[in-house]
Amino acid sequence: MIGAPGTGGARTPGTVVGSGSHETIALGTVLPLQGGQRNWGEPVLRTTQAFIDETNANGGINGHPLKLIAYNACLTCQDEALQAVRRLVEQDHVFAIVNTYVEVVAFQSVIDYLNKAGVPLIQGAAESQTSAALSPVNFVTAPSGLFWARELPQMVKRFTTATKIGLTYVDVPTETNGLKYLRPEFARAGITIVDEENVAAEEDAVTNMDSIVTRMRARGAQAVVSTNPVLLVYGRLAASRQNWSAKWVGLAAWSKLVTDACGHTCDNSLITETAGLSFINRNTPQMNQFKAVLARRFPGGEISGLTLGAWVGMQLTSYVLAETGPDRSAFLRAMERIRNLDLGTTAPLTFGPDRHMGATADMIIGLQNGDYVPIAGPVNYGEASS
Amino acid sequence: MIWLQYAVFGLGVGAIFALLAVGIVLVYRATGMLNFAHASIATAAAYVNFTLLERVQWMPVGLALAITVVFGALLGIAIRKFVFGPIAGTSQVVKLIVSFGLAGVLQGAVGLIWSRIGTPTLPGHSLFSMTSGIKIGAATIPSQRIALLVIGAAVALGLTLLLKRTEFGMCVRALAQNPLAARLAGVDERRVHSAVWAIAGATAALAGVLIIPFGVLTPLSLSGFQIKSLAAALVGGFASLPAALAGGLGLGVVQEMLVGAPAPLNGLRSVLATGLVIVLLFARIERRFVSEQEARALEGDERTLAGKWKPVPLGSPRAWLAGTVILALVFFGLSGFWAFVAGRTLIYALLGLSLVVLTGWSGQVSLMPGTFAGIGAALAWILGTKLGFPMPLVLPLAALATIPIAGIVGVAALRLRPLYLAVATVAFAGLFEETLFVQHWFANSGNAMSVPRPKWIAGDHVFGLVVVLIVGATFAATAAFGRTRTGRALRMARDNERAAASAGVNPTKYRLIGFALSAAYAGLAGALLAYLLGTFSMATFGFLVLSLTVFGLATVGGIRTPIGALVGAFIVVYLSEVFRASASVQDWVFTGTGAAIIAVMAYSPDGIAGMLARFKRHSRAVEPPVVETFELAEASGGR
Repeated sequence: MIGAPGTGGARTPGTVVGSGSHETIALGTVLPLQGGQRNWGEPVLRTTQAFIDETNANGGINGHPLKLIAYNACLTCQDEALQAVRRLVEQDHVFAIVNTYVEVVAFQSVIDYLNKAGVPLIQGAAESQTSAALSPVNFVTAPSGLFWARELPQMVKRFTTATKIGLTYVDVPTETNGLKYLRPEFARAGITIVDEENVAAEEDAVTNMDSIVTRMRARGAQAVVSTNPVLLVYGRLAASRQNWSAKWVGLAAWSKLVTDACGHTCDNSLITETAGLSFINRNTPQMNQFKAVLARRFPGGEISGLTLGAWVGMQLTSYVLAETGPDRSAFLRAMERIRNLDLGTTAPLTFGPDRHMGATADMIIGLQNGDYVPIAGPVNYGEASS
Repeated sequence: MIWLQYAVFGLGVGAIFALLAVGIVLVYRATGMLNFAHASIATAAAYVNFTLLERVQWMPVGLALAITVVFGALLGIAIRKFVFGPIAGTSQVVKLIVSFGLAGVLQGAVGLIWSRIGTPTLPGHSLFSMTSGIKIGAATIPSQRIALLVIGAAVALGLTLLLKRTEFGMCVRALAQNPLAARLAGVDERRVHSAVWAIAGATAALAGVLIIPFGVLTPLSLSGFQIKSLAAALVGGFASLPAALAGGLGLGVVQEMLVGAPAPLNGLRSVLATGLVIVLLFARIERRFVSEQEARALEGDERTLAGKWKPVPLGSPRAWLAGTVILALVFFGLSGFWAFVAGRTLIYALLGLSLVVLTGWSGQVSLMPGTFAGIGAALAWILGTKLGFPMPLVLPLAALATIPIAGIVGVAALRLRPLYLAVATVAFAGLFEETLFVQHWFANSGNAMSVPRPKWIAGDHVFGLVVVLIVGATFAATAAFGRTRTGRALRMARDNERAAASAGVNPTKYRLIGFALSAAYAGLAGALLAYLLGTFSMATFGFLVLSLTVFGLATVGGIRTPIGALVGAFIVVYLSEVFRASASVQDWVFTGTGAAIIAVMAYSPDGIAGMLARFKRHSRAVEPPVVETFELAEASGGR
């Protein structure tokens, strides 16, 4: 066992182990960094770079300085992503790929390649409702889709009195693939789904949620579950416009989107989980360091699920690197030995040969006076049966 | 009562569609340009508005709105001067292509600028309450929806009156109907166009500011509104403002009604706008609003930048075959990675070639190369992985099986004018993505599909060699085809349908041949890309991801010659990989592709291949390699 719960045993940027002249460990990332999609990629890139700069300023990992090489690929450009990753591996000789926000769609063509090449891919809280994109070399700190399938019904049961709910989701495979697990879990929890509403794309939430809310209400829903944060926020706003005070439960990693767009409107009604990431105001040395380093090295950078996720990915990578050095086989074996590792910034992580999505618990948070408050957690609800 | 609520929700949303649509109509009516960048102007304005509210704390919401609307107007004037000005006399198709380039430039610029100065967060300021509602019986109608409806309708009606009752409106209409006569009568075309662009920019800015508070601010926030506002504008044949208003409101209402409709009826939401565009185009709705004279005036120069087109070399089949052999030898000197990049470059060149045949030679603008490539890739999965056919059988079958699907579009396309065909292909691309590309049997429900290479060509070099041979042979065959009677007749039908018909060339037949060839090339390229990647999903073949890239590379390279397709693919795929390590160059490439499309259309419609040909002619002072005017005699004499 590498780490133990609550020990804060994760390697942090300020930690110096060993000294002397050591080879640089190159890490690669592929993110959407151009045009309209830059908003998604840049926070991840800047945070990852901030972690590396801080680590190097403190002597590197066991004396090994880190180096980040970042390339661009759009969120759905699979051939471009594969080409970028191949360049990182074959031309730049990176040790591992880290924090690629484009995993779910753009990386579908990449996973096979990384698997054959034996190159680790470490993702901090990457978006993935299912484990379909995982492989022997691919580790994600988010909980598995099976965990969410169990968690959402339990959240409804624990934090609301509803027995009839409306379910809303965006009609994309990353969300719809989880429905076959979610529905039986709701039935098992004694909760009836009286209305299912799909939204074609996130931007349709802007226009569709008023009608969707009206329909759910008419069908007798007492609470609403959303598998998408944008639907949750704009659905809650629409519900407010119609004076419907039903509880909204869902996957909505905290971000300024929620507080800025929903604010007081979401008070007492939003219960959310954080994709395995800890609540931002959790008072641990690691969380405080994240905020301090971000303020210093990424001025103006938003503290969000994207930036904390990137930080967590680097914490995990550097933690294992400190143990194994730049040896890929040893690195992969060490990753799979991790049990209940508390990085101080995320839910405890447990990996294994058959388990590459690490978080086993979640923080439950809500909104009060337009800001986030912790409700419970980390809570481990277990996983749905596949 | 619940349906009344849906209707009012829909009217509010529809007002935004209408607000964007009136800007599209105004610009089209005055200049003949169908502006696919209109929603991008709205997004840029929203960024300005939010930045003002975030950075200048004391600024009232109303003042920020006014400044933003002025910004939209100035942006419109700048577009008129720097983008529309150089292409003013060209055909509608050229203007349409430029508007795609403009959208890329605006999105890229917004991403670039605000990544430097920081994306503004939603300030919580809105002109209307986000949460209050008005009770009508048992129903609660959000007040912001009513406000949107009032503003949208007021702007559309105000602009209608402006066009109908003022001297300015008369000038706009006069220019639309007969530009030459209007100019002779003393109408200052530039001033009128500037005013029109300013109004369009201002209305787009207003729409952006009104709708964004209900959404998430990204450079792509309003991209989904583009096709919907286009559908609304099409209800009035891109010419009638009241009809566009009605179209926007109607579209909004139907969309919200479908949200409330039971399954599977409510699934129609996702294809509502694209379906409406296709239906209206094939119903030839524009005839109700635009006279034949006006339609011809709006079409501009059908020959696309007449006088600037010069003969371009096609490359002889022997030269292509020799090039293939040389490239095959070079391939073995490349590393595995660069062999992969070169293979991908050639596949993109093949996709570009599909547009050379269709757009460059046959004169039909299709924005579906990515869609047909997606069909080819899915067929590779079905035939190769699910049915276990060997790759040598899969590739030709994927190419051939794409033809009948493309034939549906092609037959429908025969009825349409060039601009409407281009718009129809955008709508068809969206329709395919929302229907066929999400089917489990066809595309694994949009999830990953695996198409492993056969063991004997699993390596990058061997597979790359296969790609070189297939693509090289296709280019050589295409160059040979271009010199045959059929190839020349294809281009003759493009240049002058009547002359072609009088020479015994059936334009319909040759248009269909162009569609079939183009689809087969794209299908083959898609299947090759599937084998190159090994695992993929249909997201790779989205309109915005692949079709626009391919159209851009073919345009920049030179869309009338196979050489252009190769040059364009080399720049977009291979050369951009060479410069990948330089982030600033990458930024330039992204934003620059849009700018390059604009520049090429304005100054060198045959792209880089055309420039090279001109340079060669000047330096050697030799005769042009292919003279298009020979074709009439050649084709008719050959019969």
